[in-house]
Amino acid sequence: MKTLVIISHPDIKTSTTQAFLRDAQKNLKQVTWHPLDVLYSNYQIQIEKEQQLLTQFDRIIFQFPMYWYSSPALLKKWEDDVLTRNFVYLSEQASLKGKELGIVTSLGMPLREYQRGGVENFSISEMLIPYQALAKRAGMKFLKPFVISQFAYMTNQKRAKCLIDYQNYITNPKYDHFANYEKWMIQQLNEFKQTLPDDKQLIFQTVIDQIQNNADQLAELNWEVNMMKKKEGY
Amino acid sequence: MDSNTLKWLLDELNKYQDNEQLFAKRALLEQTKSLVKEQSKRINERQDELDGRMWSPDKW
Repeated sequence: MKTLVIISHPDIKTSTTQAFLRDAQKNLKQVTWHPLDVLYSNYQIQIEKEQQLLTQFDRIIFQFPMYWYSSPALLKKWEDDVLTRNFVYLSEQASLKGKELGIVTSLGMPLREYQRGGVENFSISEMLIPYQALAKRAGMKFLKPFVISQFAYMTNQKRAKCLIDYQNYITNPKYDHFANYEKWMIQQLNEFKQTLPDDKQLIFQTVIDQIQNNADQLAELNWEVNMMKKKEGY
Repeated sequence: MDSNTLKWLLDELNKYQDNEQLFAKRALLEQTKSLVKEQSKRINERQDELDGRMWSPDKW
């Protein structure tokens, strides 16, 4: 699966969140980093080049800090210029049909404030409806958004979780399913093993084998529970 | 997974984590510890569910 991460951030060069995410993806194969503010600081977007780029990827990510409940201006300009009717509409070229659209957005406020009764009073899902509508119109699958709230206040442990969850979000074809997360993590651990000295690789392989055994045992138990439910008429 | 196996896994992962300097690698090992804890929890829950269904009163 190939992923294109389209970033819109007017202060991308000084943003610690974007630097963190850039580091998180830099060694990932199949992921292309596409920072609009670096490529098009003059706002003169090369439309055909961008359209050609989009057709080469399976998962397209819009990544931006939330500015007044939407993206910064350059991403909107990019949408308006690149996503032409001919290029997007299902009745025309349908160039994005079957692809996935994901959103990675960062917030300055705590996520809990984005709900009824919270300071913001509206949910992230509500704020992202225009992107969901775009995905629907283009025949794309809209993914659950990946929200990063108050990055500056995160502990190292929370940042570790954020890093791995982000990598999972942008590279795992079925990122939102536990069995697939297990499979994806085992792939990451196998790659990590290759970076170890030979003598440590052998011991680490037993760790990976045990995690795989756990995954197999869990899959078998899930199957048994489902069979029993079927027998009971569920 | 029994508690000894879980402890062994967590101890091993801690050892590798202590030897790593790079944040990305330490993060992977940290999340692997979370993964095995979650596996252990889910395995126990499923086993309890199976036991519970086997001992359902309508099968007595």
